Amino acid sequence: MPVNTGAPQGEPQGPEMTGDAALAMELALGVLAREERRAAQLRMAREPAFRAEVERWQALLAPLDGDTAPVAPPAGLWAAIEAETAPALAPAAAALPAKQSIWESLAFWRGMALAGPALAAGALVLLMPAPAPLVAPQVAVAAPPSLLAARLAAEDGTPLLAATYDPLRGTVVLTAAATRDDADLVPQLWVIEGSEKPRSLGVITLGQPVALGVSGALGVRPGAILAVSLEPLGGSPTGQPTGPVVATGVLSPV
Amino acid sequence: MSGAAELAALLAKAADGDRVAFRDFYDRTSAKLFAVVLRILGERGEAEDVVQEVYVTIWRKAAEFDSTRASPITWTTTIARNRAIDRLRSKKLRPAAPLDDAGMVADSAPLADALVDSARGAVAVHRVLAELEPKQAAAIRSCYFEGLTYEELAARDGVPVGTLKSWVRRGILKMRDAMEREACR
Repeated sequence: MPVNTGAPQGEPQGPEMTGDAALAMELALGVLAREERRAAQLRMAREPAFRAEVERWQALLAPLDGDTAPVAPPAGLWAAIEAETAPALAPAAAALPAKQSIWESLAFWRGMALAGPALAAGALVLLMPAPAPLVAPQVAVAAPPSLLAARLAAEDGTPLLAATYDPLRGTVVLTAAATRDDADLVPQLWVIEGSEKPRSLGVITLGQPVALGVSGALGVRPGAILAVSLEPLGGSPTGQPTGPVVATGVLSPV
Repeated sequence: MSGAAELAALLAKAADGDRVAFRDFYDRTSAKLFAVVLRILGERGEAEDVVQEVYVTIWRKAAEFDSTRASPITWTTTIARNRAIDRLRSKKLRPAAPLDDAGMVADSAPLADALVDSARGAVAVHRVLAELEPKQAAAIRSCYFEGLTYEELAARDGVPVGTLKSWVRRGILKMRDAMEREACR
Protein backbone atom coordinates (compact mmCIF):
# COMPACT_ATOMS: atom_id res chain seq x y z
CA MET A 1 0.00 0.00 0.00
CA PRO A 2 1.57 3.33 -0.98
CA VAL A 3 2.31 5.60 1.94
CA ASN A 4 1.36 9.24 1.66
CA THR A 5 4.35 11.24 2.75
CA GLY A 6 2.56 14.53 2.41
CA ALA A 7 0.45 14.26 5.57
CA PRO A 8 0.40 17.40 7.69
CA GLN A 9 2.65 17.25 10.70
CA GLY A 10 0.99 16.15 13.90
CA GLU A 11 -1.73 14.26 12.04
CA PRO A 12 -2.39 10.57 12.65
CA GLN A 13 0.28 8.60 10.89
CA GLY A 14 0.06 5.28 9.21
CA PRO A 15 -0.52 4.04 5.70
CA GLU A 16 -3.01 5.88 3.55
CA MET A 17 -4.87 4.50 0.57
CA THR A 18 -4.32 6.04 -2.83
CA GLY A 19 -5.49 5.54 -6.38
CA ASP A 20 -8.06 2.89 -7.18
CA ALA A 21 -8.03 1.41 -3.68
CA ALA A 22 -9.06 4.78 -2.26
CA LEU A 23 -11.58 5.34 -5.06
CA ALA A 24 -13.35 2.03 -4.37
CA MET A 25 -13.54 2.82 -0.66
CA GLU A 26 -14.78 6.35 -1.33
CA LEU A 27 -17.51 5.16 -3.68
CA ALA A 28 -18.72 2.70 -1.02
CA LEU A 29 -18.44 5.29 1.76
CA GLY A 30 -20.38 7.80 -0.35
CA VAL A 31 -17.98 10.77 -0.21
CA LEU A 32 -17.35 11.29 -3.90
CA ALA A 33 -18.70 14.46 -5.47
CA ARG A 34 -21.09 14.09 -8.37
CA GLU A 35 -18.74 13.77 -11.32
CA GLU A 36 -16.20 11.57 -9.57
CA ARG A 37 -19.08 9.40 -8.39
CA ARG A 38 -20.49 9.01 -11.90
CA ALA A 39 -17.10 8.10 -13.28
CA ALA A 40 -16.55 5.53 -10.53
CA GLN A 41 -20.02 4.05 -11.10
CA LEU A 42 -19.20 3.64 -14.79
CA ARG A 43 -16.02 1.82 -13.87
CA MET A 44 -18.00 -0.50 -11.64
CA ALA A 45 -20.16 -1.36 -14.63
CA ARG A 46 -17.20 -2.40 -16.76
CA GLU A 47 -14.45 -3.57 -14.38
CA PRO A 48 -15.31 -6.68 -12.34
CA ALA A 49 -12.21 -6.30 -10.15
CA PHE A 50 -13.08 -2.73 -9.26
CA ARG A 51 -16.66 -3.75 -8.61
CA ALA A 52 -15.53 -6.52 -6.28
CA GLU A 53 -13.37 -4.07 -4.35
CA VAL A 54 -16.29 -1.67 -3.94
CA GLU A 55 -18.51 -4.54 -2.79
CA ARG A 56 -15.94 -5.56 -0.18
CA TRP A 57 -16.06 -2.07 1.29
CA GLN A 58 -19.86 -2.02 1.17
CA ALA A 59 -19.96 -5.24 3.17
CA LEU A 60 -17.42 -3.94 5.65
CA LEU A 61 -19.33 -0.71 6.24
CA ALA A 62 -22.85 -2.13 6.21
CA PRO A 63 -22.97 -3.03 9.93
CA LEU A 64 -22.81 0.71 10.64
CA ASP A 65 -26.44 0.88 9.53
CA GLY A 66 -27.36 -1.00 12.68
CA ASP A 67 -26.79 2.37 14.33
CA THR A 68 -29.65 4.03 12.54
CA ALA A 69 -32.91 3.80 14.48
CA PRO A 70 -35.78 2.59 12.28
CA VAL A 71 -38.31 5.15 11.11
CA ALA A 72 -41.70 3.88 9.94
CA PRO A 73 -42.41 5.00 6.37
CA PRO A 74 -45.83 6.50 5.65
CA ALA A 75 -48.66 3.97 5.33
CA GLY A 76 -49.29 4.87 1.68
CA LEU A 77 -45.82 3.97 0.51
CA TRP A 78 -46.54 0.28 0.09
CA ALA A 79 -49.55 1.01 -2.12
CA ALA A 80 -47.36 3.10 -4.40
CA ILE A 81 -44.76 0.33 -4.62
CA GLU A 82 -47.42 -2.28 -5.19
CA ALA A 83 -48.95 -0.27 -8.04
CA GLU A 84 -45.56 0.11 -9.70
CA THR A 85 -44.62 -3.54 -9.41
CA ALA A 86 -47.99 -5.05 -10.27
CA PRO A 87 -48.07 -7.58 -13.13
CA ALA A 88 -49.00 -6.01 -16.44
CA LEU A 89 -52.45 -7.55 -16.60
CA ALA A 90 -53.38 -7.09 -12.95
CA PRO A 91 -56.17 -4.61 -12.16
CA ALA A 92 -53.73 -2.33 -10.33
CA ALA A 93 -51.61 -1.95 -13.45
CA ALA A 94 -54.57 -1.55 -15.74
CA ALA A 95 -55.65 1.41 -13.64
CA LEU A 96 -52.37 3.24 -14.30
CA PRO A 97 -52.45 6.12 -16.76
CA ALA A 98 -52.09 4.99 -20.35
CA LYS A 99 -48.86 6.93 -20.77
CA GLN A 100 -47.13 4.90 -18.08
CA SER A 101 -44.09 3.49 -19.81
CA ILE A 102 -40.94 1.64 -19.00
CA TRP A 103 -38.98 4.88 -19.13
CA GLU A 104 -41.32 6.63 -16.77
CA SER A 105 -41.36 3.77 -14.33
CA LEU A 106 -37.63 4.10 -13.88
CA ALA A 107 -36.44 5.63 -10.70
CA PHE A 108 -34.39 8.21 -12.53
CA TRP A 109 -37.21 9.73 -14.41
CA ARG A 110 -39.59 10.24 -11.54
CA GLY A 111 -39.84 13.76 -10.24
CA MET A 112 -39.19 15.27 -13.61
CA ALA A 113 -41.81 16.60 -15.98
CA LEU A 114 -43.18 13.57 -17.77
CA ALA A 115 -45.61 15.03 -20.21
CA GLY A 116 -44.24 13.28 -23.27
CA PRO A 117 -46.44 10.90 -25.21
CA ALA A 118 -45.28 7.32 -25.16
CA LEU A 119 -43.89 6.27 -28.51
CA ALA A 120 -43.89 2.52 -28.63
CA ALA A 121 -40.85 1.09 -30.40
CA GLY A 122 -39.89 4.50 -31.70
CA ALA A 123 -36.69 4.31 -33.68
CA LEU A 124 -34.21 7.08 -34.11
CA VAL A 125 -31.25 7.15 -36.40
CA LEU A 126 -27.98 8.74 -35.43
CA LEU A 127 -26.26 9.77 -38.61
CA MET A 128 -22.51 9.50 -38.61
CA PRO A 129 -20.20 10.11 -41.54
CA ALA A 130 -19.26 6.80 -43.08
CA PRO A 131 -15.69 5.89 -42.16
CA ALA A 132 -15.04 4.52 -45.64
CA PRO A 133 -16.65 4.82 -49.07
CA LEU A 134 -19.77 2.73 -49.35
CA VAL A 135 -19.33 -0.76 -50.70
CA ALA A 136 -21.97 -1.87 -53.16
CA PRO A 137 -25.05 -2.27 -50.96
CA GLN A 138 -26.45 -5.23 -52.91
CA VAL A 139 -23.36 -7.24 -52.04
CA ALA A 140 -23.42 -6.12 -48.44
CA VAL A 141 -26.80 -7.76 -47.92
CA ALA A 142 -25.19 -11.16 -48.14
CA ALA A 143 -22.45 -10.52 -45.59
CA PRO A 144 -22.51 -7.15 -43.89
CA PRO A 145 -19.13 -6.69 -42.18
CA SER A 146 -19.24 -6.60 -38.40
CA LEU A 147 -22.64 -5.18 -37.72
CA LEU A 148 -22.62 -4.45 -33.98
CA ALA A 149 -25.50 -4.48 -31.56
CA ALA A 150 -25.99 -3.69 -27.88
CA ARG A 151 -28.92 -3.99 -25.54
CA LEU A 152 -28.88 -1.05 -23.15
CA ALA A 153 -30.47 -1.83 -19.81
CA ALA A 154 -31.07 0.08 -16.61
CA GLU A 155 -29.20 -0.76 -13.44
CA ASP A 156 -32.05 -3.04 -12.45
CA GLY A 157 -31.84 -4.96 -15.73
CA THR A 158 -34.85 -3.35 -17.36
CA PRO A 159 -34.12 -3.15 -21.11
CA LEU A 160 -34.39 0.43 -22.35
CA LEU A 161 -32.78 0.67 -25.75
CA ALA A 162 -31.44 -1.53 -28.48
CA ALA A 163 -28.51 -0.10 -30.44
CA THR A 164 -27.26 -1.30 -33.81
CA TYR A 165 -24.11 0.06 -35.43
CA ASP A 166 -23.71 -0.33 -39.17
CA PRO A 167 -20.08 0.37 -40.10
CA LEU A 168 -20.91 0.47 -43.81
CA ARG A 169 -23.32 3.31 -43.40
CA GLY A 170 -21.61 4.76 -40.33
CA THR A 171 -24.87 4.95 -38.45
CA VAL A 172 -26.11 3.92 -35.05
CA VAL A 173 -29.78 3.10 -34.86
CA LEU A 174 -31.30 3.24 -31.41
CA THR A 175 -34.66 1.64 -30.82
CA ALA A 176 -36.31 2.85 -27.65
CA ALA A 177 -39.07 1.17 -25.72
CA ALA A 178 -40.66 4.58 -25.35
CA THR A 179 -39.77 8.22 -25.48
CA ARG A 180 -39.78 10.86 -22.83
CA ASP A 181 -40.02 14.59 -22.55
CA ASP A 182 -38.76 16.78 -19.78
CA ALA A 183 -37.55 20.31 -19.58
CA ASP A 184 -34.30 20.03 -17.66
CA LEU A 185 -32.34 17.04 -18.86
CA VAL A 186 -31.39 15.35 -22.11
CA PRO A 187 -30.06 11.83 -22.67
CA GLN A 188 -26.49 11.68 -23.95
CA LEU A 189 -24.92 8.61 -25.55
CA TRP A 190 -21.38 7.56 -24.63
CA VAL A 191 -19.00 4.89 -25.82
CA ILE A 192 -16.42 3.46 -23.44
CA GLU A 193 -13.54 1.31 -24.62
CA GLY A 194 -11.67 -0.69 -22.00
CA SER A 195 -10.27 1.68 -19.42
CA GLU A 196 -10.56 4.73 -21.67
CA LYS A 197 -12.63 7.67 -20.54
CA PRO A 198 -16.21 7.76 -21.87
CA ARG A 199 -16.40 9.46 -25.25
CA SER A 200 -19.54 11.31 -26.22
CA LEU A 201 -21.47 10.15 -29.27
CA GLY A 202 -23.77 13.09 -28.82
CA VAL A 203 -26.98 14.16 -27.22
CA ILE A 204 -29.95 12.00 -28.15
CA THR A 205 -33.19 13.67 -29.04
CA LEU A 206 -35.59 10.78 -28.89
CA GLY A 207 -37.76 10.62 -31.95
CA GLN A 208 -35.43 12.78 -34.08
CA PRO A 209 -32.32 11.91 -36.10
CA VAL A 210 -29.14 13.33 -34.64
CA ALA A 211 -26.02 13.97 -36.67
CA LEU A 212 -22.79 13.11 -34.90
CA GLY A 213 -19.23 14.25 -35.53
CA VAL A 214 -16.61 12.08 -37.18
CA SER A 215 -15.01 11.32 -33.83
CA GLY A 216 -18.29 9.74 -32.79
CA ALA A 217 -17.49 6.66 -34.86
CA LEU A 218 -14.17 6.12 -33.08
CA GLY A 219 -14.27 3.47 -30.42
CA VAL A 220 -17.55 1.95 -31.58
CA ARG A 221 -16.29 -1.62 -31.79
CA PRO A 222 -16.94 -5.03 -30.27
CA GLY A 223 -16.56 -5.12 -26.50
CA ALA A 224 -17.01 -1.38 -26.11
CA ILE A 225 -19.75 -0.22 -23.76
CA LEU A 226 -22.54 2.11 -24.77
CA ALA A 227 -24.02 4.16 -21.96
CA VAL A 228 -26.74 6.78 -21.71
CA SER A 229 -26.58 9.49 -19.05
CA LEU A 230 -28.93 12.34 -18.29
CA GLU A 231 -27.29 15.69 -18.83
CA PRO A 232 -28.18 19.37 -18.75
CA LEU A 233 -29.66 20.81 -21.94
CA GLY A 234 -27.01 20.92 -24.62
CA GLY A 235 -25.11 17.98 -23.20
CA SER A 236 -22.49 17.46 -20.53
CA PRO A 237 -20.65 20.69 -19.80
CA THR A 238 -17.45 18.80 -18.94
CA GLY A 239 -17.16 16.30 -21.78
CA GLN A 240 -17.69 13.49 -19.29
CA PRO A 241 -20.95 12.10 -17.88
CA THR A 242 -22.19 14.31 -15.06
CA GLY A 243 -25.74 13.05 -14.59
CA PRO A 244 -27.18 9.67 -13.66
CA VAL A 245 -26.23 6.80 -15.95
CA VAL A 246 -29.59 5.32 -16.88
CA ALA A 247 -28.61 2.56 -19.26
CA THR A 248 -25.55 0.58 -20.26
CA GLY A 249 -24.86 -2.26 -22.68
CA VAL A 250 -21.92 -4.04 -24.37
CA LEU A 251 -21.48 -3.93 -28.14
CA SER A 252 -21.06 -7.31 -29.77
CA PRO A 253 -21.06 -8.56 -33.35
CA VAL A 254 -24.46 -9.60 -34.62
CA MET B 1 -36.73 -11.02 14.28
CA SER B 2 -35.67 -11.11 10.69
CA GLY B 3 -32.62 -13.23 10.24
CA ALA B 4 -30.59 -13.14 7.07
CA ALA B 5 -31.79 -16.61 6.09
CA GLU B 6 -35.46 -15.62 6.40
CA LEU B 7 -34.92 -12.45 4.38
CA ALA B 8 -33.02 -14.38 1.72
CA ALA B 9 -35.88 -16.88 1.50
CA LEU B 10 -38.38 -14.05 1.06
CA LEU B 11 -36.25 -12.53 -1.71
CA ALA B 12 -36.08 -15.89 -3.47
CA LYS B 13 -39.87 -16.14 -3.38
CA ALA B 14 -40.21 -12.55 -4.58
CA ALA B 15 -37.94 -13.40 -7.50
CA ASP B 16 -40.50 -16.05 -8.46
CA GLY B 17 -43.24 -13.43 -8.42
CA ASP B 18 -44.56 -14.10 -4.92
CA ARG B 19 -46.09 -10.77 -3.98
CA VAL B 20 -47.03 -11.89 -0.48
CA ALA B 21 -43.39 -12.68 0.24
CA PHE B 22 -42.36 -9.33 -1.21
CA ARG B 23 -44.84 -7.58 1.07
CA ASP B 24 -43.43 -9.50 4.01
CA PHE B 25 -39.92 -8.45 2.98
CA TYR B 26 -41.09 -4.84 2.79
CA ASP B 27 -42.70 -5.02 6.21
CA ARG B 28 -39.53 -6.37 7.76
CA THR B 29 -37.08 -4.01 6.09
CA SER B 30 -38.82 -0.74 5.19
CA ALA B 31 -38.42 1.05 8.54
CA LYS B 32 -34.68 0.41 8.42
CA LEU B 33 -34.35 1.45 4.77
CA PHE B 34 -36.50 4.53 5.26
CA ALA B 35 -34.35 5.56 8.23
CA VAL B 36 -31.09 5.09 6.32
CA VAL B 37 -32.39 7.09 3.35
CA LEU B 38 -33.94 9.80 5.54
CA ARG B 39 -30.67 10.22 7.41
CA ILE B 40 -28.89 10.92 4.13
CA LEU B 41 -31.55 13.09 2.48
CA GLY B 42 -32.93 14.81 5.57
CA GLU B 43 -36.36 15.33 4.05
CA ARG B 44 -39.28 12.92 4.26
CA GLY B 45 -40.79 13.57 0.83
CA GLU B 46 -37.49 12.91 -0.92
CA ALA B 47 -36.86 9.87 1.26
CA GLU B 48 -40.28 8.43 0.38
CA ASP B 49 -39.57 8.84 -3.35
CA VAL B 50 -36.22 7.13 -3.03
CA VAL B 51 -37.50 4.26 -0.88
CA GLN B 52 -40.26 3.65 -3.41
CA GLU B 53 -37.65 3.46 -6.18
CA VAL B 54 -35.53 1.15 -4.07
CA TYR B 55 -38.30 -1.41 -3.51
CA VAL B 56 -39.28 -1.36 -7.17
CA THR B 57 -35.64 -2.13 -7.94
CA ILE B 58 -35.55 -4.90 -5.32
CA TRP B 59 -38.64 -6.48 -6.86
CA ARG B 60 -37.10 -6.42 -10.34
CA LYS B 61 -33.63 -7.51 -9.26
CA ALA B 62 -34.60 -10.06 -6.63
CA ALA B 63 -33.40 -12.89 -8.85
CA GLU B 64 -29.95 -11.31 -8.97
CA PHE B 65 -29.52 -11.42 -5.21
CA ASP B 66 -26.62 -13.74 -4.43
CA SER B 67 -26.33 -14.75 -0.80
CA THR B 68 -22.73 -15.81 -1.30
CA ARG B 69 -21.75 -12.22 -2.15
CA ALA B 70 -23.80 -10.19 0.33
CA SER B 71 -26.38 -10.60 3.06
CA PRO B 72 -29.92 -9.57 2.10
CA ILE B 73 -29.81 -6.49 4.29
CA THR B 74 -26.40 -5.39 3.01
CA TRP B 75 -27.68 -5.81 -0.52
CA THR B 76 -30.83 -3.79 0.09
CA THR B 77 -29.24 -1.04 2.18
CA THR B 78 -26.50 -0.67 -0.42
CA ILE B 79 -29.12 -0.11 -3.12
CA ALA B 80 -30.87 2.37 -0.82
CA ARG B 81 -27.71 4.29 0.09
CA ASN B 82 -26.66 4.47 -3.55
CA ARG B 83 -30.01 5.86 -4.64
CA ALA B 84 -30.13 8.31 -1.75
CA ILE B 85 -26.62 9.63 -2.44
CA ASP B 86 -27.34 9.87 -6.18
CA ARG B 87 -30.40 11.92 -5.31
CA LEU B 88 -28.42 14.08 -2.89
CA ARG B 89 -25.72 14.76 -5.48
CA SER B 90 -28.28 15.75 -8.09
CA LYS B 91 -29.58 18.47 -5.80
CA LYS B 92 -27.73 21.73 -5.59
CA LEU B 93 -28.19 22.41 -1.92
CA ARG B 94 -28.30 20.15 1.05
CA PRO B 95 -31.11 20.69 3.55
CA ALA B 96 -30.00 21.59 7.06
CA ALA B 97 -29.81 19.33 10.08
CA PRO B 98 -30.75 15.93 8.68
CA LEU B 99 -29.57 14.14 11.80
CA ASP B 100 -31.97 16.02 14.02
CA ASP B 101 -34.83 15.41 11.63
CA ALA B 102 -34.12 11.73 11.57
CA GLY B 103 -33.93 11.60 15.34
CA MET B 104 -37.19 13.48 15.82
CA VAL B 105 -39.28 11.07 13.83
CA ALA B 106 -37.64 7.89 15.06
CA ASP B 107 -40.02 5.00 15.28
CA SER B 108 -39.99 2.74 18.28
CA ALA B 109 -40.53 -0.53 16.42
CA PRO B 110 -38.05 -3.08 17.80
CA LEU B 111 -36.29 -3.70 14.50
CA ALA B 112 -33.06 -1.87 15.15
CA ASP B 113 -30.89 -4.88 15.67
CA ALA B 114 -32.97 -7.36 13.76
CA LEU B 115 -31.67 -6.22 10.40
CA VAL B 116 -28.03 -5.96 11.18
CA ASP B 117 -26.11 -8.68 9.38
CA SER B 118 -25.31 -10.24 12.67
CA ALA B 119 -25.14 -8.89 16.16
CA ARG B 120 -21.50 -9.84 16.14
CA GLY B 121 -20.75 -7.74 13.08
CA ALA B 122 -22.39 -4.70 14.58
CA VAL B 123 -20.58 -5.09 17.87
CA ALA B 124 -17.30 -5.51 16.03
CA VAL B 125 -17.71 -2.45 13.85
CA HIS B 126 -18.46 -0.27 16.85
CA ARG B 127 -15.62 -1.65 18.89
CA VAL B 128 -13.31 -0.94 15.99
CA LEU B 129 -14.65 2.61 15.54
CA ALA B 130 -14.15 3.23 19.25
CA GLU B 131 -10.49 2.27 18.88
CA LEU B 132 -9.88 4.91 16.20
CA GLU B 133 -8.85 8.43 17.03
CA PRO B 134 -12.09 10.31 17.74
CA LYS B 135 -11.69 12.73 14.84
CA GLN B 136 -11.10 9.86 12.43
CA ALA B 137 -14.16 7.99 13.69
CA ALA B 138 -16.32 11.13 13.62
CA ALA B 139 -15.28 11.91 10.03
CA ILE B 140 -16.05 8.36 8.86
CA ARG B 141 -19.44 8.41 10.56
CA SER B 142 -20.40 11.78 9.05
CA CYS B 143 -19.42 10.65 5.57
CA TYR B 144 -21.30 7.37 5.86
CA PHE B 145 -24.48 8.51 7.57
CA GLU B 146 -24.98 11.90 5.99
CA GLY B 147 -23.63 11.28 2.50
CA LEU B 148 -21.37 14.33 2.75
CA THR B 149 -18.48 14.85 0.35
CA TYR B 150 -15.02 15.55 1.73
CA GLU B 151 -15.42 19.16 0.67
CA GLU B 152 -18.77 19.58 2.42
CA LEU B 153 -17.63 17.97 5.64
CA ALA B 154 -14.35 19.92 5.62
CA ALA B 155 -16.26 23.19 5.20
CA ARG B 156 -18.72 22.28 7.94
CA ASP B 157 -16.06 21.29 10.44
CA GLY B 158 -13.55 23.98 9.48
CA VAL B 159 -10.83 21.48 8.59
CA PRO B 160 -8.66 21.54 5.45
CA VAL B 161 -9.94 19.06 2.85
CA GLY B 162 -6.57 17.30 2.64
CA THR B 163 -6.50 16.77 6.38
CA LEU B 164 -10.02 15.41 6.47
CA LYS B 165 -9.34 13.10 3.55
CA SER B 166 -6.27 11.81 5.35
CA TRP B 167 -8.25 11.15 8.55
CA VAL B 168 -10.87 9.17 6.64
CA ARG B 169 -8.42 7.19 4.50
CA ARG B 170 -6.11 6.29 7.35
CA GLY B 171 -8.95 5.68 9.79
CA ILE B 172 -10.89 3.41 7.48
CA LEU B 173 -7.78 1.39 6.67
CA LYS B 174 -7.23 0.80 10.38
CA MET B 175 -10.90 -0.07 10.63
CA ARG B 176 -10.60 -2.67 7.89
CA ASP B 177 -7.49 -4.23 9.40
CA ALA B 178 -9.16 -4.42 12.80
CA MET B 179 -12.34 -5.90 11.30
CA GLU B 180 -10.26 -8.56 9.62
CA ARG B 181 -8.63 -9.38 12.96
CA GLU B 182 -12.09 -9.50 14.56
CA ALA B 183 -13.24 -11.93 11.90
CA CYS B 184 -10.35 -14.24 12.78
CA ARG B 185 -11.19 -14.37 16.45
